[in-house]
Amino acid sequence: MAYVALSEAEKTFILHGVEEDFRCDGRSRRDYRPMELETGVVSNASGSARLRLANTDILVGVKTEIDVPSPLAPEYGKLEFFVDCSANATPDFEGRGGSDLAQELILSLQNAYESPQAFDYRSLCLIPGQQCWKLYIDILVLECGGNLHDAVSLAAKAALFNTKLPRVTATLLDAGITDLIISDNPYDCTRIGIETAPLLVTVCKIGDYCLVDPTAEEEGCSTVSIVVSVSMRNGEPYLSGTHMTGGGSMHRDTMQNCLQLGLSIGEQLNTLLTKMLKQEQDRVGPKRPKTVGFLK
Amino acid sequence: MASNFELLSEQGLRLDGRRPHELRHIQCKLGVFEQPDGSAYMEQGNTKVLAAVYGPHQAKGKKTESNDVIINCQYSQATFSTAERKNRPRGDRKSQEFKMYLQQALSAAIKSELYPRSQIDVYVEVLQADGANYAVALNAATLALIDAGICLNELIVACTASLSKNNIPLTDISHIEEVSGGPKLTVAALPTAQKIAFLEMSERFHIDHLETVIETAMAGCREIRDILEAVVKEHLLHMGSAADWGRVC
Amino acid sequence: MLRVTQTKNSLLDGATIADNLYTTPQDCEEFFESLEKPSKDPKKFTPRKTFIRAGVLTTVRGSAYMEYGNTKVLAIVAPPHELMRASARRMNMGVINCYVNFAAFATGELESVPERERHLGSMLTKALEPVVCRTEFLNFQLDIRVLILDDDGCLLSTAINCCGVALVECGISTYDLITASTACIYRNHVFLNPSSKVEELLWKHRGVQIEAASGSAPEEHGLVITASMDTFDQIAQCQQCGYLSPETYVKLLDYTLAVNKSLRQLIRQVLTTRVREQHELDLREKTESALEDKRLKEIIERLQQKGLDEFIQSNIKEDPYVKRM
Repeated sequence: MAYVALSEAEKTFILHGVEEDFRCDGRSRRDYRPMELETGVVSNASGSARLRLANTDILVGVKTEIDVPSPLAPEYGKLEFFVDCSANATPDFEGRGGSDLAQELILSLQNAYESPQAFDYRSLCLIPGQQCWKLYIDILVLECGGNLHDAVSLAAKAALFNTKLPRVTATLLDAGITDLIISDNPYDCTRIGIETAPLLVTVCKIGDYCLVDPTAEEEGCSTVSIVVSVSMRNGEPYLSGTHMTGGGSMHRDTMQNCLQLGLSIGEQLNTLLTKMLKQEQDRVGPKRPKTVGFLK
Repeated sequence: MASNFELLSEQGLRLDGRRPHELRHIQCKLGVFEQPDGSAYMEQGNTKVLAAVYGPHQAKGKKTESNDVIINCQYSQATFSTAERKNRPRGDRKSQEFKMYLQQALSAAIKSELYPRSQIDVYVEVLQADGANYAVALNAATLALIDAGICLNELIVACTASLSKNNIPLTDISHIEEVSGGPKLTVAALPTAQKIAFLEMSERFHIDHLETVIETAMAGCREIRDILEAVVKEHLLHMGSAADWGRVC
Repeated sequence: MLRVTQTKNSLLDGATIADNLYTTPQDCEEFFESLEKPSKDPKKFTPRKTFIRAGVLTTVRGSAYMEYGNTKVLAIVAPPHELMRASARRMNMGVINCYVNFAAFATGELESVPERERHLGSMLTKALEPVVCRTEFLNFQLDIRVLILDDDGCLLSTAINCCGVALVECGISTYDLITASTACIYRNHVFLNPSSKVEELLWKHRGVQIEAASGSAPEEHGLVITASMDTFDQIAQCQQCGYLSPETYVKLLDYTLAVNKSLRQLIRQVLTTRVREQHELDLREKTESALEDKRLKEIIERLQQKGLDEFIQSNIKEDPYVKRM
């Protein structure tokens, strides 16, 4: 994590703010910072999204490739996550400096998307046992302002929503070999179902209280945080991966509280994100806002 | 792709409908991020680049021995920036090369006598690559340096030029023109002083045309400089106004 | 995995030797049928045979060897040394680095080994960070190395247990004893301390699972690894993967905590025996060195009484080292 220098006095100030349920930026413990989300920002990728959560800036591009499914799961497509921490965020990430953080983010995302219940791998299959889509989800961290797990998962989900897979038709040749024809028409495409795609919620423990969406400074004060991956299915929240980070420990009851908080927040986030993405999808033609990207 | 692919149509239009001396549409913004000391975003056609500058600060590691300023650059390209997915964002031969070129060009522009024993970090991230990556990266880096308030001798800008089959020079070539096999000349220049800081060429053409092609690239540099200057002025107008209302949202 | 030639091995406790055959979903189904389903009340689980020994190596200060069923793990802890990477220096706590390595013969799938090693290493670091008093070695790093000799499930939890013992053996101050265990759920059956075959069922053959009809609750499957410190009921690490409802998650968590408690008893016992042994060794050493001191003292006394020449003369006959034999 990008390092923030904090004095004891500053830490105490943040701690007191958390105790009063009135954090440094005026939020309560359950509030998120303002978020900006834009999809379709990179034209070279099949799907893309840019998320700005206050100071945290994430750009995600999804690239597609046709691959052979694994023999153990012949009906499943593949997902591959890649995170790059750009040196733009902090000079510490220069060269290979950001690889530890990137690796951690990749592992959390992989773990969250691992279960076929959380992501419908079947929809990525073209011909069982022979051809399937492989999606590369490339995540670029441009600025670190805390709460990377949440931001990355939100952006990844939005980018997956934005991804357009060209329609593929297959013809059977002799000897059971199939030939794939990929549609050239950019409007002839399919979307990926992301209803159950998980979102990561970091619940941070500062003092005796749990809070969500920590800033970089608050992360510096926290002893332990738990990353909860929430996947919504039939209106019920499910866990598709949790782990603890931060080098501290917590009581079982505290953990259960954190879990409850994470689940309820994840549920809200998911509803909001779905609503936003739907809005964006419905705005077609001239109603569609011009993508501004970084020029705002 | 065949090298006899014509860069210029009979009507005198290029593949993307531009005229030979026309630049691609340029949009840029200074100060996109808060954490770096200076940052800039630049779009030239479909090539999109982010640049961040940290410094000047105390030189790190063993580099402190010399009295000069150390310009530390990093060029990386997002894995999704090209049509084919890249495996690594940086560290490949091309990025290393571009990194050296950036260092070379920027050291010509920065007033190094003002920053003895210090280090300036310039990080460039290409989000979308559509030709002239190096030139756009350098232009973005210049803007980021200005945003960081680092003294420059002059704006350093880069532009590319090419030569069509019937010997008409073309300015600011795109990716498709790059891969079609025409020559490519990149010039980084200090346009007002009429100085060239860096020059690179690939493919071949007759030496008689060299002067015209360089002149075309220089003309492109001057044009880009005018655009950048206008952007910088407008940015300063916002920043300089007492309460900075232009940036409050 | 399943079409195994049933060669029972007495050394391996009657376990069969895994043949790394390619398995199809069909085999997997059959295996699940053949598997002995745990009872509905998994608290009465039969514990795995556990063997722990601290101080198995002479080359390092802290080492421990643990067998948990057929999972065999060796952990080594060296005393903290100065940070190698200067970039981590500004942290106000010591740094823990864990390296996990598979022995060349531990696993058949060589391709995924480096990735698994990295993953296990990072999870192990996360689990051990809360237990070690990291404020005691600022700007130092503690290297922990784990060698996996055999993998029969519960790899991470066994490694955590083993490292806990090795840390104590090395004399690194810790807040508490750390114990860890694994529980998983597959088709509504809870498996405590799953064997590698059950874990394989969970991961590799996820495609086999029957898709739940829309509307009904989805099939839950998942794995929970919990590391806890029981003196203050603290959870040091809790990693979950798969797809679980929150209620099931808490249920599995409680099971693992119960297993951790029973393991803790065992580890305590092992460590106390170890300390006692060490104490006896120390005592013996002490008496020996006291004897030696006494002897030397006598010699010096004699030397003072007799003067040098006489002393040498008297010593020609009785060489103390020869006599001692």
